Amino acid sequence: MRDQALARSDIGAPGVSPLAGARLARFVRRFSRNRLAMVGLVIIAIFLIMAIFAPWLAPYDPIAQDLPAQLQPPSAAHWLGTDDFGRDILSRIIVGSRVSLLVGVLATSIGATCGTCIGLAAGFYRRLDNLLMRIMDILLAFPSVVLAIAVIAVLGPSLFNVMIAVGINSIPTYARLVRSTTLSIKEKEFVEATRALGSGDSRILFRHILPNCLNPIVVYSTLQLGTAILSASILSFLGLGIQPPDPEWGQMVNAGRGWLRDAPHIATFPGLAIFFVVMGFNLLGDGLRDVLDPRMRRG
Amino acid sequence: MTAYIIRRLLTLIPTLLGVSLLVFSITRLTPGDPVRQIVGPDAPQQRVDEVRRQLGLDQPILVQYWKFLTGAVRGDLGRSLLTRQPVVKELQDRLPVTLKIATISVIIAVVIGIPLGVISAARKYSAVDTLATLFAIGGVSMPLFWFAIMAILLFSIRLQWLPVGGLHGPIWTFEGMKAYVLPCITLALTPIALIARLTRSSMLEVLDREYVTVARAKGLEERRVIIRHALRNALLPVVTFVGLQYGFLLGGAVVTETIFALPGVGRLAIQAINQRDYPVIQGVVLMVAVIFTMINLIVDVLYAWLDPRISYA
Repeated sequence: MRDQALARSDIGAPGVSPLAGARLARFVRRFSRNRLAMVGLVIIAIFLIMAIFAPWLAPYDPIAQDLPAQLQPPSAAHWLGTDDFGRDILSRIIVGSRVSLLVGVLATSIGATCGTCIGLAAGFYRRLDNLLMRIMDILLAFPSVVLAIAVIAVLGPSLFNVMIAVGINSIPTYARLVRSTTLSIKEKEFVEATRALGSGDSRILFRHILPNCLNPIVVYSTLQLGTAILSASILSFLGLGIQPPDPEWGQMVNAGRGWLRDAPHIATFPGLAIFFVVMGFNLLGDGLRDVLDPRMRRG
Repeated sequence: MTAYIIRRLLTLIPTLLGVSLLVFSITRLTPGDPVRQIVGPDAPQQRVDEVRRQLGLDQPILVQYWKFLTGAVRGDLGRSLLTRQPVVKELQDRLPVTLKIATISVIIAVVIGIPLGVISAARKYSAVDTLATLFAIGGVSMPLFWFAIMAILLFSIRLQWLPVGGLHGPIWTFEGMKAYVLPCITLALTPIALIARLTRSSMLEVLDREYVTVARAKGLEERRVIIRHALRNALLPVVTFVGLQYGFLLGGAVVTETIFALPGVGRLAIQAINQRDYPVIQGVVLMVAVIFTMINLIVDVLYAWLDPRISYA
């Protein structure tokens, strides 16, 4: 009876400790001391608010054309000017933030979910390790842009396919990250104790090993969000992502290329939006890494 | 060392086989009939059958893969559906431009990135260090295509110092060289930031070591301590990283070649995707993956050779 009760308990799993509140407070205190990370957090918060309340914040319809107002420079009526179809650039950037953040979050989720499962399986089951890691080596044999191009070539250009292409790119890194943590955790005494108490593989993997992999996953995911947004914007810029007239920042920069001489603002502002949101995630990721996983710190 | 190189070469075989399988799948995994996608929905059945035969898609899948693999080993990657030229010939014509851009970019990144990282580490927390850190953060966050467009706006349109795009003669001529300036600086931006960051952290680690303290205690000039004692050891991880960056730049060239209208492999890939020229897409992806894998191998071997402390037994 006692053994069963112990088996149901969460030995070694973080988040159930009575010290969790104190740990959280310490994390907040250390994180808030990192000024660059706080700047990143503020930038992300601004873009998140912009994305959530986009329909109310956008002063104009982002798709509606107004040809008499085309190629206008920034003014009181159009704060960031208009494009070659007379569409308000600020409104398109605001609504475009939804697409960019959505692509970032979903692509990162695809990579994190698949990569984590592969990493857990490779680290836990020795028989699968070699096979899974060789498959990851094959994916790593392609530079990210080239792999994304190959995926888009198969699936066709669309927003959803961009998410898949960008997500696949990050799978090997997640797999390697989780595998190495799994390899060290599975040898720990609390895992042996849990097994001795009758826990099955899936319980050990998902209740005991996975929670211990979460810190590096969270840190890498924050950095990966910025990379995913950047990669997706590259693919859209190359005409392989979301198709017009829906607003997407990379595609907006591409549309502005033809008007550099007469209306440089068309390409300038969407590019700045990409730069700031990616920088926000990079600063936030760096800050989280310093607090959550100092071993990953690079300098 | 020889045993290690042989072992690493052997591990390449399954990786390259997997790469070839993935590249082979590009046309086979396309939803619907790839031949219909190539010739268009209204093409007559005769044309569909003809293209299917040309691509070898009428044969069993294993036979198709075997033919693809043996053809690739012999340097036969089929013909472009558009130009009817052998894919290898198309790649041979375009590869020199891509290699030039990637090589010059790596050189720029090393020449700027390493000194920047060393100065940052030597003057930790100074104004120079803060500026270098901000530059590094900006460099890794910058969308390259946007940076390239802004550079065109400033240097080509406003100041008219450099051409907007295209090649303007051989690289050793002044005009020819000018065509490479913006693409290479654009492509080098992120590696500069990453190399500077890595050099800084690697230098900081080495500067804490006892032998550096001893060198300083012996009264050596600080510049000598940094260059002769610290930098030589700090450069080890940087060398590996620079090698890997070269491979990544081959992929990054897709963007710069498209923006600056340079006839390289990356631009060929984008044109091939837009025109559904599958043999060319396969050729580009396969070639870049093989070069990338070989670079990784060379980097691994170089690292083992440079650092005798590492055992690869």
